[in-house]
Amino acid sequence: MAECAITNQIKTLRFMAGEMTQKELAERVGVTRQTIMAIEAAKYSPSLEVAFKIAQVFGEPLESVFQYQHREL
Amino acid sequence: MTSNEKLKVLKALLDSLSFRDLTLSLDLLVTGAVVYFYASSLMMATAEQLASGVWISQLLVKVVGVSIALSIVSQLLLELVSDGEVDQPMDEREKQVSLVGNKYALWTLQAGVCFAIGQYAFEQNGMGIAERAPLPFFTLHIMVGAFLLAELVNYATQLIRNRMVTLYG
Repeated sequence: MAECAITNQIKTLRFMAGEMTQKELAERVGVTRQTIMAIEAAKYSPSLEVAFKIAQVFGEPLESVFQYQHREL
Repeated sequence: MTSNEKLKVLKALLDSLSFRDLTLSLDLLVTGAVVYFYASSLMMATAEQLASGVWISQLLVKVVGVSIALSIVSQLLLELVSDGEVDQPMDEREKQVSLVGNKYALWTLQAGVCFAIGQYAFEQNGMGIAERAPLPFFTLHIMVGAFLLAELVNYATQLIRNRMVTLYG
């Protein structure tokens, strides 16, 4: 059985971007703070549009923000 | 757990509460109050009242009235405490959570309608559970109950899913 997991570096990137708050990021992306919290905790996988918007806010390529891992259980 | 730690936990909980959680909690409370009003009215009614179509119709009108009044009050409360969030559209995660809630509500409603149809069929044929129906107009009460239960399921599912912040777990 395979388990798919998308991890991310949002917390680190927020810290590096002048300690940007989740609320600030949420406002810039156009989602709620709870959604940013869920994405950051890898509890929710965002749509491609939101993922690109997050990467755009940090000025990083998508693969620097989100990583896909395919694990065999 | 010390009182300081308890305060921290409470602060973290309040911090994680979204406006959507608050709206759903209020909707759940309002629906719960309507269910209580309907159920308590039925339980306190006399046998003559329960058998009267006029009394049942009046009760349903009252239920709708209570529901509208409570909804208006809750919306006013939300307007007061919100910071323009009432007019904000749902984001993609909230829309997905809403769809999950609607799915379970639909299943509940469909089950209730199927049960009501079965009950009606038995009643008309004078057999099965209809013979021992605890209430006159039992089919109607099943439908109203299914409708109210579907609303409860919808709000509760959305709240749980929002708190879990996971959609596919």
